[in-house]
Amino acid sequence: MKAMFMSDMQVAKKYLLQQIVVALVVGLFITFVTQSLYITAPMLIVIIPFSIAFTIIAYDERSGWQQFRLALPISRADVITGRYASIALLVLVGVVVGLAVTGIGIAAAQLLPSVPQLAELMSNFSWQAILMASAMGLAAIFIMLSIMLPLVSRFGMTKAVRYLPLVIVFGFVIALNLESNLQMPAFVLDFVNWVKTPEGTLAAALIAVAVVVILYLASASLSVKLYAKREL
Amino acid sequence: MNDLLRIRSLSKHYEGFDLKNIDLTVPAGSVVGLVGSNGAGKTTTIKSVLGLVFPDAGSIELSGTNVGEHADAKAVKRAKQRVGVVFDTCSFPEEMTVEAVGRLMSYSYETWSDADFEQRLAQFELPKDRTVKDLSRGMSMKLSLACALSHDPDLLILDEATAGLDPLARDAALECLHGYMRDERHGILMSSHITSDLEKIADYVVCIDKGRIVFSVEKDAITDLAGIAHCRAAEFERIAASGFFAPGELRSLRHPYGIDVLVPDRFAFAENFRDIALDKADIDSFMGLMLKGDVQ
Repeated sequence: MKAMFMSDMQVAKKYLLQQIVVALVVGLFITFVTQSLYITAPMLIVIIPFSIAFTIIAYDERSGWQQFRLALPISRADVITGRYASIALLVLVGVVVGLAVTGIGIAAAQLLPSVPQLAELMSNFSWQAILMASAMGLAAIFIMLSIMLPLVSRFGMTKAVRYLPLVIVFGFVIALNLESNLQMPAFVLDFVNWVKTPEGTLAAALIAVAVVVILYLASASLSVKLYAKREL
Repeated sequence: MNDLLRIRSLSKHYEGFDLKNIDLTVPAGSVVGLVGSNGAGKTTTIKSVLGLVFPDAGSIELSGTNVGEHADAKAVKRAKQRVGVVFDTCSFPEEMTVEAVGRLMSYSYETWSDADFEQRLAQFELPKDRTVKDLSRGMSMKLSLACALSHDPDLLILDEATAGLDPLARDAALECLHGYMRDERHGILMSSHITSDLEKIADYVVCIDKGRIVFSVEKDAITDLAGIAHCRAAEFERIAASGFFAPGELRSLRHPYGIDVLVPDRFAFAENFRDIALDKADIDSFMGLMLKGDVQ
């Protein structure tokens, strides 16, 4: 697993630095333009790992790298667990960069209150909103990866990208259908009100992260099984 | 003698292609050349050994360890620690530098030697800061060889590794392989279309065609002993009627200027047919007659 993890990191390293620089610039620009501290962190939490994950997965199919990798003393299970671990690390980088950009926005607003766009950032400031938005970003990226990686493990990236839009459209239609048919029961409204409290926000964010981490681990387990049967 | 690779009754079915009952052994201290036309089954055989595809039947052992069906994943990993692999393309991610490729290999092989790798890079004049995508075909192959050899493997598996190289680069590769084979514990399985390379280095030649082994012989039986007789129709009739060839062993190929006959022992043939022109065989001509020759 270590060899696979380090191999992914070798590939990701070059692009990660570029991506972080771009994320810092774009993140600060969006914070400034939208005058909101609550968009940048979830956006970067999704974008950074997703784009780098696609880059390292794309390398698998170039020059026979994925075949050669299996000719090395790396098991199929190592390939998958190493890949999930390296992408999880990229998600962590996305979280750190996302929160760092948000922090820079807060610091800029404190230091330069005379700039109207920056002053606006701190009106109605809520750490709960930042936490919850970040947790939602984390949940979104883990759900996307948990769906995408088993498809890639089974079919490879070239074929998986053909199926991915189908999965997304199918999921979107189901979600729309559920939402239109759903009447909010009283306990859901109570839950939403509880989430708005500081303890509720903290607990809900932790629960959301725990649930998607479990989903990610289940996805890894499924991918190990799917990759074990794949011929290269 | 210790067998580094032993394949028995290997079979694999694909739509439109069957690899059937492949038996192949690489003893320590020997180089086995795998020849055959495109799509004959050479790469499928190698992929089966490396666990890239799953055979339908048969057994595969690397230094006595089962790496085929029902193999234990940890045992396969351990067995692969003693194997070096070179494919026909340089398979490393193209944005990696030569130095990063070395680091990557060091994570994979327990017995990886940085000093050995550095020494090979210097020997091959490979710049450490050059990315894989900027390497020429010859340099790519040298990098692949350096990676395959720097953990001192017992068995080297080369799949068309010298394809596309100019003669000088091929000679450099063969020289490197000769150096590796000075240790009698080592062995090489080398698939190649370039039979002249195999004539320089192989001890055994195995030919696969349409998924089946056509012949498996010592190379010297081809290049030192066998011959090609060039005859006219009347001479061919005389040979056929002589009883020199047992039934089913006379292989001939007709062409506009006469008939070529594959002679397993050209010295014995020359004793019996002094007036018939006879050349030494090479792997190409031997294979051509074995694959395309009429049998009688």
